[in-house]
Amino acid sequence: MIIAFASSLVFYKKEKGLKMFPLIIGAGIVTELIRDVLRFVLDNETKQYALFHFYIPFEFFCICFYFYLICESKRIQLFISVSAVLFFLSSPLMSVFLKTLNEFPSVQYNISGLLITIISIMVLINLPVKFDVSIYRRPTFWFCIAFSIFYPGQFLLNGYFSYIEKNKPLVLESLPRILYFGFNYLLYILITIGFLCLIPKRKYFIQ
Amino acid sequence: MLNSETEIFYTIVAGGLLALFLAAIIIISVVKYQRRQKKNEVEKKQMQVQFSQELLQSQLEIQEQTLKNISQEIHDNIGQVLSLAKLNLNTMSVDNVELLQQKITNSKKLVSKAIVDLRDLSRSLNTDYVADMGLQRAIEYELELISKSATIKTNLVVEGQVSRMDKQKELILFRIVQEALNNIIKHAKAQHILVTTSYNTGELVIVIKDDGKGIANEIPDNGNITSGIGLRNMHNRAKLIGADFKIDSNPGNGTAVKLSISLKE
Repeated sequence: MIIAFASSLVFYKKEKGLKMFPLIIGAGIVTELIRDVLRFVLDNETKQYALFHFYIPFEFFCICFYFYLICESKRIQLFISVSAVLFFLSSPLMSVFLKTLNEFPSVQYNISGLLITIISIMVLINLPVKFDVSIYRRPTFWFCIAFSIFYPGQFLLNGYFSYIEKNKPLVLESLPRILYFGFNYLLYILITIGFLCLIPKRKYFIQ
Repeated sequence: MLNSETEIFYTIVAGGLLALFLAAIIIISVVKYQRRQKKNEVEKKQMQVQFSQELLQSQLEIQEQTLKNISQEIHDNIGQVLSLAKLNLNTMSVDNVELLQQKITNSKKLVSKAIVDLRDLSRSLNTDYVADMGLQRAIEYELELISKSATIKTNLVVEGQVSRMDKQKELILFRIVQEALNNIIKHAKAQHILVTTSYNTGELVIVIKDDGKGIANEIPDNGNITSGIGLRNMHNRAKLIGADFKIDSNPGNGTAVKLSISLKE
C-alpha cells in the first residue's frame, strides 16, 4: 500500500485523472492507521468501523471520477455519473437506516465493489486507443484488472470466510493470513505496476 | 454436512467461473485494443496518403489558377498598359514640345506601372509562393489580382495579430479560399467581395462574403456540405486539415463561406 502510494505520488502528473490515486490510497492508509490506533487505544472492536462509512463513498467517488475522466464513451460516462450520484446519495441513508456506524458498512462495500467491477470491465473493453502505446503500458489497463479482480475476489472470499466462520471456526484460525490479505496485496501490486508503466522507455544510442 | 460441502463446491465453482469470466474479459479487451490499434494505424496511413494526394492536387490547382491569372493579367493589364505606352510613343510629335513632354511623362508612368505589375506577377510564378509569402499575403495578392482583372471590388479586413501555421495547411486553406473566390467570379454575379481573416485566441477564422445571387436549395441548415463536387471538395479538404467549413447563403442575398481552424499544431 505504501509502495503504491509512493508511486502514485511520483507519477500522478503524468496522465489525466491519476491525481485521484494519491487521494484514494492516502485516505486508505489514514483510515487503516486510525482504525489500528483506535483498536489499540480503545481496545474496542466495534468503534473502528465508523470511518469506513465515510471512506467507502469517498473511495467510490474518486474511482468513478478517474474512470469518468479516462473514458471517452458517453454511455459509460453517463453510467458512471448516474451510479456515482445514486451511490453517494444512498450510502449515508444505508449507514443510518440499514446499519449503525459501529458496524462495518458491508452493504455499501459490496454495492460499490459491484459497481466498480462493472465500470472497470466496461472501461477495459472500451479503453481508448493510444496509437503508439501497447495496452500493457497503459496504467488504466492494470487499474481495471486490479479492480475487477479485487472486488469480486473479496466478495467471494468474504462469503467463503463468513461460511467457515459460522460452520468451522477452527479452520478459519488455521488459514494463513496471506490468503485473507491476498487480494489486497494483488490490488496494490497491480496498481503499482500501472504506475510503473509510466516510466519512460530508455533510449539507447550507439556511440 | 453434505449440504455444507455442496455449498463449498458451489462457491469454488462460482469462483472458478468468475476467474474464467475475468480472464475472458481481459483477453477480449487486449485483442480488441490491439485490433483497434492496428485499424487506427491503417487509417492513419490512409489519411497520410490522402493528405499527400490532396496537397499535390491543391498545388497543381493553385499553379493552374495562377497561370490563368497571369495570362489574364498580361492580356488585360500589362498588355493594355504597354499598348498605351506604344501608342503614346507612336503619336509623339516634336512640333508640340509641351504635348511631347506630357506624352513622355505618361509613357514613363505606364512603363513603370508595367514593371511593377510584372514584378508582382513574377512572384506568383514561383511555385511555392503561398509557402513563401504566407497565407495572409497570398489571400491579399489573390484579391489584388481579382480587383485588377475582374469587375468585382474586393476588400480585405484583418483582425488580430497575423500568425503563420503549418505550410501544408496554409496551402490547402489558400486553395479553398481560391476556389471560393473563383466560384464567386464564375457563378455569383457579385459586385463586391469582402474577405475577413480573424486571428483570435488560438483560432483563425476566414469569412469570404459576396453580394451575389446566392446559392439556392443546396445547403443544409447546419452549413455542412453534402452536394456539389466543388463545394464537397472544399468541405473535404477543410476536414482533412481539421478545419470547419460552413456556407451560409440565401437566394439574392449573397453567400458567406466560413472557414475556422485552430492555430495550434
